[in-house]
Amino acid sequence: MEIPVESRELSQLKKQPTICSFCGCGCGLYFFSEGFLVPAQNHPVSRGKLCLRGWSYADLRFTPKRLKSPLIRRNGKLEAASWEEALNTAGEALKAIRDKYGGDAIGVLGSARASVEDNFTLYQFATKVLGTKNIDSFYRLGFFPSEDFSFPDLEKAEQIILLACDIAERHAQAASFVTGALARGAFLYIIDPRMPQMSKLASIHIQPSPFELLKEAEKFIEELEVRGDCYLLYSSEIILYGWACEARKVIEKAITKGIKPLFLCDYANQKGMVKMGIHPQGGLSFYEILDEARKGNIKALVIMSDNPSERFPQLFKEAREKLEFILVIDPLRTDAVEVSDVALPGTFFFEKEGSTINAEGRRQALHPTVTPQVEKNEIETLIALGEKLGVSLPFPSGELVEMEMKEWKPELSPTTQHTPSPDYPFTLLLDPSYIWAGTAMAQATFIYNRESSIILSDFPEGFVNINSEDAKELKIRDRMPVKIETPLGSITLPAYTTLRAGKGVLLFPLYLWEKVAEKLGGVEFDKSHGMPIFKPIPARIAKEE
Amino acid sequence: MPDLTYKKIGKEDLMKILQEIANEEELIAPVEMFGGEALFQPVKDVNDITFNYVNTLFPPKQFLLPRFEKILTYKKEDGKLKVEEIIEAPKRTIFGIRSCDVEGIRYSEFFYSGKMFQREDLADPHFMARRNNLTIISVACLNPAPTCFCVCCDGGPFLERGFDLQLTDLGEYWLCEVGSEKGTAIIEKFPSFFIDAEEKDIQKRKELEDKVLEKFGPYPAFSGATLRRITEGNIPREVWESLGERCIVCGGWQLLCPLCFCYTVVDIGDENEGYRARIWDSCHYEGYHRLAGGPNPRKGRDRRRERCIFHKFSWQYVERMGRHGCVGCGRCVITCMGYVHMPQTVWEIRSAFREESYKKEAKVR
Repeated sequence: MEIPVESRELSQLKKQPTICSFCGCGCGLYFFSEGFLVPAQNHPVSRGKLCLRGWSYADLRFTPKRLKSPLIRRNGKLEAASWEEALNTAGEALKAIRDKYGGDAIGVLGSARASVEDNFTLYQFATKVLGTKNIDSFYRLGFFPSEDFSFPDLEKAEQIILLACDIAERHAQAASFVTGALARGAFLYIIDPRMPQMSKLASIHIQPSPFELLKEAEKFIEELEVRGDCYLLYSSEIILYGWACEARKVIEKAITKGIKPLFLCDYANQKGMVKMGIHPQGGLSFYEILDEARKGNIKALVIMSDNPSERFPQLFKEAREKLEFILVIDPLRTDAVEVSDVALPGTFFFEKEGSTINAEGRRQALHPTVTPQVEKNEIETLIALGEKLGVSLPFPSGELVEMEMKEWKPELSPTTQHTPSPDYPFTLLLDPSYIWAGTAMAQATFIYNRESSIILSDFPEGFVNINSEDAKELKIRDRMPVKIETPLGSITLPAYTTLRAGKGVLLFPLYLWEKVAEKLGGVEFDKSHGMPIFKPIPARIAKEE
Repeated sequence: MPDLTYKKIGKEDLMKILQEIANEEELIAPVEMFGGEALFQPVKDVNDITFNYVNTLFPPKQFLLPRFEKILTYKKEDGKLKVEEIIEAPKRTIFGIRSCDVEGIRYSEFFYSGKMFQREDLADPHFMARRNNLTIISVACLNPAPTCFCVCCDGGPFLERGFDLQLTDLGEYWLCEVGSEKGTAIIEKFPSFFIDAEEKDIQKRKELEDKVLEKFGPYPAFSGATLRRITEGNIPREVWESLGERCIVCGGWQLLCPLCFCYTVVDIGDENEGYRARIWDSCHYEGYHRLAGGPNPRKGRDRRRERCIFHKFSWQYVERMGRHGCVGCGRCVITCMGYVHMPQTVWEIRSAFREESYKKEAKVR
């Protein structure tokens, strides 16, 4: 269904760049309806360069995963419906639940692949229409409130420190800036228990035990003789290990030494989403919303472009059984859409007006550069839905959005860590790599889907990354099942022997988090900023009998 | 210089002819984008055409081999599968294309026409239909960009073949070199606009060509040395490993290369109805080399780079294709995320034999 964009000169809009909605780098590109895109050469971040994800972004135009018409569940099956019918059904169901159980029985999930304005409207919808405090997003996973910076400055750096982040894998554009700086003679220092791709280019690579990571980082920063521009790059790893509070101290120390910290967001509009209020504000966080739903305290979910089953499939499945109603607004037919009661199509970045904020804190405008494939965008849908519930929502004008934009500074508290012991010579560590494998965004592309699912088809049961030398000593070969014993419990996974894992480190990918945590007594949680965490756990390897 | 017909045409007259062409068929020409860069786009009004560009980042190969192309549809009717081929080949004229891209089109055509295998019965109908309907009016470069190195790769800045019309800016006039029957057809269609070029015009074009050669920037591509060393197969493993370490596997180099023509096919739809599409692919991607069942002969980034350069520079391909696989357009210099583009790669291959220290540390230029 091709709907013309009213009163807009498409030939003019076609010449405007749009922004990639994969990682937090926020590359500018020209998007064309014929299924191709061109990296913007004069864009400060992309500079004519795009990563594999960026190049594959063009596939979203033709993706078979696109949700094109509203769906309503009838007799257990999702059937196509008209917009009016779907809006009415959703409106009635939400009204009934709000009136029966109160607004706080509804959970609302925002998204980092929706625009700032979409998240603004969703927040207004949650607070003014539904009256709930429970608003958050699974796209906040690994977020850390941090300072703004500028990528182009990075290229002029003289010293660059990578603190536990794999930029070549997850933030390719940042890796390109770092390589550019190296080409101009900069020094690269890496502090990481893993061996990421960039480590081969580093002058110094400190591979500490995961328990010592922050201590080593602090020591290194203290001893470092800062020359010229020095940058410290870090990403979601240390947050997901439960060290947000300790990390802040290290970052503050770095700032006092004149080192500029750069936090690399994992998702496109993560910063903008949080600035629009999509984070726990007295209500439940994303993990707690589903946890409470599982216990029967949350009765309905409103999900906008989010998919909880990408990170916590079991939790979402259990929650789904108890939930009375799920409304999903998403441009993609995600797993969440498949289990929803009403699903409404959304729009991609290249189909709507709005803005997005990347890891730098750079707010970039979005324009509809191709005719949208669906009738309504998220803002129109939410406003229409508000009308059905008797509340008229404001249109997110520039001024209104500016006014509501707030920094989030949660009070962080330290978490207790597991202590290493001689009985357990290894450390089991979460590796937030393969972050896009199996996600709706990756599956919606063609080439990137092929590339990101290689690991899934090589290891359908998941894997644990073991250092090749350790594996040789223990006589473990690739794909051999190994039993990992920890003081909390044990789990058996196929081995994947590479040099990526440092000596004595066992890495498992992010998409196995829930499966691994289940065997070790459940997912841990940092209440102070509403974040599920996986602390490094001492472990040993027992060969499977 | 081979025997070419030389004509000249006034600047305004050319715009009139282009407008005539745009009215009759699809005219592709460089258009200025929001950020100031140029891009080849279908043009309805010739006033949209920009002349303020060296080359576009996105290659015009898009109009012969689209990045995403539906090649067939299928539908189940009465239990039988009905397959229909889609060949979309509008009559097109491309104006403003640079020499390197014309050379790229000639190279791709050699592959898709089946000439590479001396089997013209294997020609790709989609590509060839579009190629036969395409008229090329190229414009010779007088001011190469700092990233250009076509002069080292026999890809420009002036061409002797491959174009239908080649234009050179002589100030008041465009000098037209007619390179094919299609070119002659344009001249014959608009006889009142073209006048015969004089000997001094041809002389001026030669002088301009000599002058351009002096303007080339800091990216020499030692293609001769690379060709020999790749063919001999004695490049140290360390060179590939070092290049692989810096490669971020974006694949941008292959996607933007005017000579790269690799593709993959995807089927979109269900068992009853759908279509098959062809999309650009890159040999730098792991999945490109992965075999059914999981084994991958080129799992490492270094192996994939080696394969890419081997295809571009090995004599066995040069012999079959008539030239090596680089025209020096410089797009890889702009788009490569790891700064291991073609000039860097050949520079490292060459210097590996000069510098023993190469093995000790990664070189980044």
